[in-house]
Amino acid sequence: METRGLPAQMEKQAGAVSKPAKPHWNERMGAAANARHELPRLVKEYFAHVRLLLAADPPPPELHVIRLASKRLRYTLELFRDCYGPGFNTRLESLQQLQQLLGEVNDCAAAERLIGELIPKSAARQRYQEYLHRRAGAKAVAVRKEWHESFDAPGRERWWTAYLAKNARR
Amino acid sequence: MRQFAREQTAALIHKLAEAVHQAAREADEESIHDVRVAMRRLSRCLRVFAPFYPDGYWKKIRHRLSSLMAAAGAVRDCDIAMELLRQNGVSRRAAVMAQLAAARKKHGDELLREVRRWKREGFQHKWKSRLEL
Repeated sequence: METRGLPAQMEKQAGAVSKPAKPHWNERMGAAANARHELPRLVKEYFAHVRLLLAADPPPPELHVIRLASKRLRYTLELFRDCYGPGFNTRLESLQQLQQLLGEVNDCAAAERLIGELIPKSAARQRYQEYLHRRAGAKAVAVRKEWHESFDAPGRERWWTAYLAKNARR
Repeated sequence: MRQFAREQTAALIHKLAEAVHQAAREADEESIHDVRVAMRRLSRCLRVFAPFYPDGYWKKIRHRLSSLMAAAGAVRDCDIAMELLRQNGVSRRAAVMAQLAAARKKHGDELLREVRRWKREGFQHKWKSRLEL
């Protein structure tokens, strides 16, 4: 689900915070040289953004901003898959794992909203929405755990940036 | 770098065309997922490699992608909501499931019409030509 149905403030926040920095390509350099130069910077900024967002302890629906940032980073990195070796996929897999959890939070929030739109107010609707709300909360806890204990564990940012800065070939 | 950007873009347009052809047969969950992924990848590629395209046409492509993405997203929303309720023990015969299934059918039909239109229009060749790939 995209940004439909998000409160205006969150949309604004999503726009302001989740957009990764624009890469600056050097036309005179090849793809690998550009990747070595730009991708570590994009990853570094991603880590900084997500740390900042999580430090505010956002409620589950606001993790959507992190989901967008993660998705944009992953698709940008994937454009350079041909430039890197197997270590690149290992790193993408760790990002995908985080994205999977973020997606599960978003699925619950979106289903809750959809049911609110489709189903007239009733005890059953409230029951479904409460279930989805609880589930989103549990998944959000899993996102934070994944971020702190795995994705952003000590040395992991360097694990990304050092690899991206040194291993591009093409 | 320009050549690399062009190769990546051409490959992603091709992948999207394949996914659209598949989804035009039947808008099932898997083919919708493939179209969504192919659209997102291409959209990101256009944004990231924007300086390497001849003019602002890449923005028009992204705009078209976003409209199809919304149609595919509406179908997926219904699929996800039904799956989550099923996991919570809600019967397939419950009223909420019938309402979600009806919404899914409506959005699915709209999506199917849209992907068939994309397929007929042959967007692949036009986009490659306009982006000088």
